[in-house]
Amino acid sequence: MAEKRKPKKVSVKFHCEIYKEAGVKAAAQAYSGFAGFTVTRKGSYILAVITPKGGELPATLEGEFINRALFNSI
Amino acid sequence: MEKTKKLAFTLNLDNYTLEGVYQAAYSMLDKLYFYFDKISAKKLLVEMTPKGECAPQALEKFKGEFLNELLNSELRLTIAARTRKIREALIAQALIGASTEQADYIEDPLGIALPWEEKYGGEKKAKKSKR
Repeated sequence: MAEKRKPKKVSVKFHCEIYKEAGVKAAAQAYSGFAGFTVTRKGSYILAVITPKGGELPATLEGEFINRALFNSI
Repeated sequence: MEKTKKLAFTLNLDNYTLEGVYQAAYSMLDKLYFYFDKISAKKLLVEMTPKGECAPQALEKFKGEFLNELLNSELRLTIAARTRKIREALIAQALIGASTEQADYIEDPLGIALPWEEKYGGEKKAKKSKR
């Protein structure tokens, strides 16, 4: 029987003095069609975990998500 | 040809403001992916990743462009802070001037509603009669 591979998660830490939590959440919302996002607060960081919807995460998704979070925080 | 994926460096927040960094990064969002982290109270980590393939020299050039843009932003912020009061005063004056409570179009203090003939016609005739 073929082994089922778990989708590889990617986590990104955003410092809350630089990024706004609302901005990160809005970015997650904007890209929710491409992957699953969970945004939580951990101390002085906002932790975003990206879970691919298919097998792999689209190559540019992480970068675009971080850029959008920055754009929303400005 | 060697390809570089990422370039990281630190900025001293004694020399640059966070707002200036935001502005400089914003102007280059179409070319690069940016990631910022605060290493300490005064140190900001900047990570820039090019969108697509990029040679190491090109990435260094992007860093230079970013640092120049950062200086531009800082100067703009300094000028904005320096001229804030005068800009606010000008806007306030313009708004007061345009306010409908003080000016009444029926009164017509500038004589805009007066026909040209009535306003200047008499003077011209007077000039002609002198000759």
